[in-house]
Amino acid sequence: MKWNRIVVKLGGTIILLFLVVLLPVGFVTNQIFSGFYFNKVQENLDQLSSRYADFLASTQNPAAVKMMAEFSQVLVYVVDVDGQIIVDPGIESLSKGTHVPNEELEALSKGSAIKKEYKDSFTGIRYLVSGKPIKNSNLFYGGVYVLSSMEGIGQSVQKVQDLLILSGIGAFFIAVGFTFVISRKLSNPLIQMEQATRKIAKGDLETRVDVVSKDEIGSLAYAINDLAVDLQRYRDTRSEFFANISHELRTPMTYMEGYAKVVKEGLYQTEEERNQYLDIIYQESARLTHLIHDLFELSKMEEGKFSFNLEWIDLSEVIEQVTLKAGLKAKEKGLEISVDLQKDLPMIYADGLRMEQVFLNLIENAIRYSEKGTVFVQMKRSNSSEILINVEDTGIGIPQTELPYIFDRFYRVEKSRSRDFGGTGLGLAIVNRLVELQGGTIEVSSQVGHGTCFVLRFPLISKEEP
Amino acid sequence: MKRLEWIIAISFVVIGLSCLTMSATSMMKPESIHDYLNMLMRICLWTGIPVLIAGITYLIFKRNRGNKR
Repeated sequence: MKWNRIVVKLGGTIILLFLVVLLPVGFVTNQIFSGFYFNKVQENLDQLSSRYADFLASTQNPAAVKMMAEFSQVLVYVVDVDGQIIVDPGIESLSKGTHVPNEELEALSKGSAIKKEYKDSFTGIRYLVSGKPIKNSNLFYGGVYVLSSMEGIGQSVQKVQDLLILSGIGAFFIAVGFTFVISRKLSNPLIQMEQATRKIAKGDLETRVDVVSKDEIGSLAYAINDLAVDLQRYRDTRSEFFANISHELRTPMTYMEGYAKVVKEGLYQTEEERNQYLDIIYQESARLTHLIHDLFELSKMEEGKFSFNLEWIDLSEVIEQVTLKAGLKAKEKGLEISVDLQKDLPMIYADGLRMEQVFLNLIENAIRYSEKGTVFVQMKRSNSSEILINVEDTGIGIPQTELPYIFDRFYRVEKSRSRDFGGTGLGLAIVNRLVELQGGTIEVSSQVGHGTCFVLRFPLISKEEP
Repeated sequence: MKRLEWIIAISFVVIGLSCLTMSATSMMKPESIHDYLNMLMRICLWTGIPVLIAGITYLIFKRNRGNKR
């Protein structure tokens, strides 16, 4: 059995606490009882000796006292005015004719009572003694002593002590039984969690802990389960990320390798064809650079190492600049960019360059996936606490089943046609992270064949707040 | 908890209760098993008082928490 276990420590501590209480309580109970019993015996002896003293004072008949004592099985001895024993109690060291000490006699003559312990020098038996003076009308006639064997008192006390010890052992057993159950019940969740975390550490991320209580232990179990879910998600996304990144890097590399080989070996017919191949190599290398740049940005954001240059910016200016930049691309595709910006909107606290990146990404996406129609950008105040921006297109749209995943890295709606449209598959993931990191939210709604609408919300805060 | 562990725990409690009962009845010189059982029941009652108090306290706390929600 392993001793270094929580159940042993917990159980041991409870039992120790129990003993800390039980032993002093047992000792005190014993002292109370012994004291009480001795006092009772002493009181009885005092009463008895007083009665005998009163009797002798009135009758002057020691023989009658002896007879009464023998009849009641009480040990009594009587001393005369000189301190000589005239009625003996049948104890050898207190035989008839022996004298009591002078101090005692003096105390008796003064009317004081005697209380003492006496040890028989022959048998070694100890007695509790109570002596009273025999006095009548201020005349001193001697004294009468009543004895009680300490052995008898001790036997009674010992019996009670034995019973107290037996009840103490009983209480200890009950405590052990209950402590065993309680310590197991209290430590079981911790042991389960320890086993579960070990399994999780070994890579078994499907492991979950049963949450049985709503206290700190329950909260810990929830935390472990959350950790396992996060780790599982992290592991899954990491494998998916590596699979995606290798695929995304391989494709342009294959293009570049193939066309470079064609150019190198002169496998082209005309100069125009050669230039076309070189153009493809250039486009793919640019795409590769773009992809690496996006990946770098995204990884910085996810690691929390991304810094923002936050300042008070006018979003209208940002959107106007973006539409100006994207205007050429839209014109090339025969699209129109329509902008509706509510006037006198308050400024928001954000990074201007990153905001430009967000809107450029969204508007370029809208242009990329629209063949005709309009890209509509609208900004207005939705309520007193936020600004709402809609980026809407009349493009191919996104199926409802795909909508939850469009902010994932490398997620593409039409995998087969994705390369035709260009892009790295990281744009929306970056947009989502940038908006979230600046305190905003982004939502998307779409209808296949009709278009897509991105809704961004940014909180309005007073200039004192940041 | 395994069945064996429950048996061990219950045995401890039963032994404890028996010790207490013997201790309590021996001074009274019980004349029949009925006296012994009567004392056992009374000791069980005293043992159950803390459990009863804990149970009532738990129920009150649970009820108060429910009301707050």
